[in-house]
Amino acid sequence: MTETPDGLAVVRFAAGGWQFAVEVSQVRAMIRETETGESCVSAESLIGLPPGSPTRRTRLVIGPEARRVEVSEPVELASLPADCLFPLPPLVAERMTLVGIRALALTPSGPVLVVDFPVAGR
Amino acid sequence: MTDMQATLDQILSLRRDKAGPVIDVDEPTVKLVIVSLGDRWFAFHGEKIKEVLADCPVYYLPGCPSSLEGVINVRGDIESVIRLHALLGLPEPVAGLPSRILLGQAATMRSGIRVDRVEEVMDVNESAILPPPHTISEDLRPLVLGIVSFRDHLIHLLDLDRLFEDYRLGLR
Repeated sequence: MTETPDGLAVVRFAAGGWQFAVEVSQVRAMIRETETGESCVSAESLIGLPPGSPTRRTRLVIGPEARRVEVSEPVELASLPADCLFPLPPLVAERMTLVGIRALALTPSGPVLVVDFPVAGR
Repeated sequence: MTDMQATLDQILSLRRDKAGPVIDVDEPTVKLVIVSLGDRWFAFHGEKIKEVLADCPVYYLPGCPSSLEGVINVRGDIESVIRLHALLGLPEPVAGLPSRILLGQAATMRSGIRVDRVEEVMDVNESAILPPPHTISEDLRPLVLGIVSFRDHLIHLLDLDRLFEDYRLGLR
């Protein structure tokens, strides 16, 4: 994971009404304009959530393959404090049906699930 | 003296019988945490229950079965919370009623366990724990280590290791 002095540098986004984050090191670009000619997959389908609501969407360009992943706004660069980041408890890790969730951050605005898109996309 | 009069031995014998059985104070005891779910009472071995938590906020998470209520922050550690009603196939309590979360540790895992009430924490003689009856439901049978009678309730002593392991494997 990419460490900053204060915590983990991430791109925060929404999917299926929940808050998620992906490590900045996995994100090559964010495309807010409507893009054509590039195939795109929704974050919800990668993670295993029901299809997202028709809110404004942003595309994250992920990994060396420059895979386009569409997420819901708000999308922002952020730092998750290290002391609010936790591994998933064992029973959650075993029973949760979402794919690629690596950690959980408890923030004042609620839980943020840290997702590993390369794992989620397998 | 008349025919109705007893001997001293008879009187002392009656006195001894009245006193009841002698309790062996050296008999090994086990600590039990007794909880209730509605009108059903259950117990866990005390050594498996690390703490009874005051009411604390539960963070709900997506993609979890309804029996997995969410996570709680216990002094800087995150623990899951499972609903014992759901794991035992019992009806859910009426929403809004007070409840408690036990922090259990078993099968190399730790998790919160939602119950309605903690009725008692007490020591009982090992001999007071009887084998589970054959009439116990098939669903409960693998989880029940024994039966204890307490305050007119028959209490099922649950195997927390088995409960956690079954849940981890998706068997409950």
